Amino acid sequence: MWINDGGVLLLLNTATGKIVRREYAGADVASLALSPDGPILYALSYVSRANDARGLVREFNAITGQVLATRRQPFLSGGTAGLTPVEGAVWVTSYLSSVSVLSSNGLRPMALPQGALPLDPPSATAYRGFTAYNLGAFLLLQSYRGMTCLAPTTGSLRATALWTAKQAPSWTPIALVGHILVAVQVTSFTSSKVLAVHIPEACFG
Amino acid sequence: MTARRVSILVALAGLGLVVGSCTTSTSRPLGQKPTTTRTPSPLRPVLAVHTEATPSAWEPVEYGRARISVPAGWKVGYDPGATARTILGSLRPSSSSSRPSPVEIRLVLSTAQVIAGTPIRGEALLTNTTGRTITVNTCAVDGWLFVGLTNNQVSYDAFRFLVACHPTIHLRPGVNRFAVSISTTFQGCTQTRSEATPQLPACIPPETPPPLPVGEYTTKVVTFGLPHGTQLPSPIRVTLLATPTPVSHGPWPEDVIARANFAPQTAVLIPGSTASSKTFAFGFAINGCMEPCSEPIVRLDLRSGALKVGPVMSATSYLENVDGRVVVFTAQKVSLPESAVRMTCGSTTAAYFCS
Repeated sequence: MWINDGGVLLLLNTATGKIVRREYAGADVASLALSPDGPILYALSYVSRANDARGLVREFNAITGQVLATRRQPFLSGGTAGLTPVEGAVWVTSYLSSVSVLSSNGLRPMALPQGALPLDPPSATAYRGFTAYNLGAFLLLQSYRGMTCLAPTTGSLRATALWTAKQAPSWTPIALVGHILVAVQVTSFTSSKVLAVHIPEACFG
Repeated sequence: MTARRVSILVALAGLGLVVGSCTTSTSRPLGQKPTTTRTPSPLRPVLAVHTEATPSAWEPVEYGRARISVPAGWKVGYDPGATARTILGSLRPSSSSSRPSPVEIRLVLSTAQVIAGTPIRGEALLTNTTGRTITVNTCAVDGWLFVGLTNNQVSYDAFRFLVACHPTIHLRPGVNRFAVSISTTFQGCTQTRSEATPQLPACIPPETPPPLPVGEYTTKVVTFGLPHGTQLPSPIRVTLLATPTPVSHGPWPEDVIARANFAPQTAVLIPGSTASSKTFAFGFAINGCMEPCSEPIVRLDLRSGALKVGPVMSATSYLENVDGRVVVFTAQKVSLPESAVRMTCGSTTAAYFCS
């Protein structure tokens, strides 16, 4: 398991609790994610300068810590971002504005198929709230208005779900159990409930 | 002589040419793809199978204005508009030689209609008719059995590796089965869009060949290392379809499993290792406090909805599923000098604490 400790990446042996490798990441690492099959570690850092907020996505060999590729990723100012690795690629979502998918081979951007993005909110200036979840059988791309089920590696559209403005999806996926998605929905500051969401067959490709 | 005539008729059916209404000639200048031309011919009498010429275990099949004879189990369709259609692949009968083929190949596909870009699974059945084991005389790693799709716009070529290892594939007498997967994408692509052609399209960035165009194709089998006289299967007609427009749904139906009060970003699922074992969700209890707060770990049995409250962990702890185990990361308590935590009032963040 890799841990970010203030810009230093630590490789932890979870059986012994010992740190077995340290790699200096160089910038403020905001998020770390391992590829599903394990050999690649992705790190996302923010590089902020005046009127210019960018993300720095880096790809490491998860065993040796060697940097394999680096890519600067433009974000609109104020957006937080997340990494969602899938087999052969990593999805980079900016909570504010953008979704992109980068090939694990050199972090080259891949074209996103038409219809892959869920609907935008009615106002162009509103936050879109893009978040990606790799659920194994499919990738769930969530916005404030709806969701799309995509093929994880190509992004091709499998199904779309729309929500009305008053019924925006407010749950966070945890994991898929068969065709049921276990999710947590916050109902107030101090309460939440665990849901079984029935996923349409089309999402499974 | 008569046996030979029947063979020719069946071979024509396999090739998909109209029997009795036209004649066909095939020419192939050096370095060019084979071309087929048709010329109308005068109406001829209905052709029929000479029953004495029908080999045992073959069956007569009505074929438009003719009756042909094929091995039992073959399925042959007739398209009155133009061509014959082999619905499921079969072996192609030997052309004119009376010598039996040492290996006969039959191709069976799981489907003959898929969305372009989706591979077609199938099986190649290689029947060794010699009564002794045949070694496929090539390096198997390089590839020796290829199946692709082709039509008059798209060609298929077998691309081999050049490892050159010792032969390892042996065909026992009788039927030998090999799984095949037929790609329905282009075999190659160019990363330079301006250089793209219908035969070599632009890649889906960065380097993924796009799906083949929607339309009708036939299978093409290419083999290496099989003995001379091996009988290849008749082409199977395959239809590639456009991607359907995904169905839009309203909000997906949901049921409440439990009011577990998990903080959503902390929850992890530990599935049971067997169908009968329990599946648990772990998470920290949700808390409305505006700064990091200590919270207990909560465990939820997804089948029964039973909740168990565990130890209280320090603030900013989080959980990970590591190979089916819940690993808890928890911050250590540290003391900082007052100067390190002093804030500048006035900024949006600090205002909350300064008020």
